[in-house]
Amino acid sequence: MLSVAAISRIAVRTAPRAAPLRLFLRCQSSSAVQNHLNKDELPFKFSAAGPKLVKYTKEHEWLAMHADGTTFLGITDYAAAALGDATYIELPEEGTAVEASDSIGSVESVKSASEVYVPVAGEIIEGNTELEASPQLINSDPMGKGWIAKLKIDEKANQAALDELFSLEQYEEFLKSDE
Amino acid sequence: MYRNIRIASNRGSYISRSIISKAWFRPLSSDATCDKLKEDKITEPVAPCAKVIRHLQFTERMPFQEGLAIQEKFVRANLDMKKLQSKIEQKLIQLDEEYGGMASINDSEKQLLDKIMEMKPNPTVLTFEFVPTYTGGKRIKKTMSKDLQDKLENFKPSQQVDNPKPQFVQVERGGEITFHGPGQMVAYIILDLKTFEDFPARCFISVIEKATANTLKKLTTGSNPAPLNMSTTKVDDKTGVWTENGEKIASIGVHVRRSVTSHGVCINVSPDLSYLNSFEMCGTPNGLATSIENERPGFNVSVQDVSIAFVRELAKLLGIDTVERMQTNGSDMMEE
Repeated sequence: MLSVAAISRIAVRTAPRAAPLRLFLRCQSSSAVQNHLNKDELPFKFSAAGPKLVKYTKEHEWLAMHADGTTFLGITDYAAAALGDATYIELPEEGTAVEASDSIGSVESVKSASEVYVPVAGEIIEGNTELEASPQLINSDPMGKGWIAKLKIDEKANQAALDELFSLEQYEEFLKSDE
Repeated sequence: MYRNIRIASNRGSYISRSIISKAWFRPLSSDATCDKLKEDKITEPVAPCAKVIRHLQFTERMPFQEGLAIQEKFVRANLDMKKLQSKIEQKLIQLDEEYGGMASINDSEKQLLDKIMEMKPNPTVLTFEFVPTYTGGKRIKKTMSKDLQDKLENFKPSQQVDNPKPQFVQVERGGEITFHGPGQMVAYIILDLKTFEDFPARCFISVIEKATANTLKKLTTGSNPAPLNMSTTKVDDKTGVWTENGEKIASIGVHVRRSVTSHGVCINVSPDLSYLNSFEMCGTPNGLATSIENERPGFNVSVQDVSIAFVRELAKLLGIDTVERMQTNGSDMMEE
């Protein structure tokens, strides 16, 4: 949330202001979780070389794009912890064309359905149907087995959008200041 | 301290505004979590716009789709504001990078930006009483059948026999099927979770449950100063509010878009319970619904009274000490 005071500060400094250290909270925890991709699972292993790009959004989605444009999307460890036990996942349909900022599904926990957004344009190859039988994968392995959607994107066409997304370090910095 | 200001609007509809403020404010302890439900306050505002909660009280019964459309306007306002703020933020960062950390904005530009930031909407609660409507949450989309829809839409209640026929409407909140109709207080809460301290969606749900439980405990009516003092409980890990007999008195379902919430809670004040007990509701096969009227036959309280009490309890839990209430019959909201 951009505060009034922050506006003048941003104008003179690039480094985000350091947030005071917080105790570990049940409601959300950023420092105790790892928000990197699970190297043993499909979103990482899809191609032999691994993903060409791994990016993060402000809404706590992650994107892993492989060289051929195949991209996996899910929610981060941080988001999964904040949501609580997932009970139902709404998945996108195969063949759906998506624009940047479209919703591609939702994750429900305790009767609260949170939309999941895609930050790039492309076409859905498939939703992760394993989540239908096992929604808890979102909590146990959100950055691996709990991937939500697989889509095909054109890197060049989405260059501007991809550049605006966070790297892992930027995302972790963002988490600290978001508290 | 209550202040009642009556304003007659240009269109002749009656708007009454009352501002309730609480003098006492308790500081939040450093490791507050949504599990700390014994505290008066679960969270607190971290943005200036969140320090006041607005209660838009719809005093006339209305169609469900109208309430939904009104809610959507408020959500849109929140989402558009977020988009604008994000653009401003990015532009400032860009400027900063271009000028190598030496950029600055002049006073009038800063004033303009301040004004834009202040335009962010306050947390808002819309309270309604709807005509008979069955609503389906996201979970029911795949399993809903024409057959069930026909059954719901042709249902004849046992008491409120003069009601119009129910309609089925699919919505985007979490959960399955529930019913909204005369005698029920539906509260839609639209706020940005990020404008509160450590406030993820599941804490928001806990706050709604707690606000409902507190309302059912402390509710009073004009004629009887003794509070309702109803004890409520949770059933397993399910979301909602039940009486001690395990009958459901309030159902909850929320939708979150980019941290902006919508939908909320429905409290059974005096509905015709046959609407709820003739079908499987909320995904619970053997569950029964009850109401304030059913539990305490003499305690005559209106949907409007419950709405006011609920918003007050919600504000306390959110750490907000100013409630701005506006009553409307709804006619001036749909003119556009």
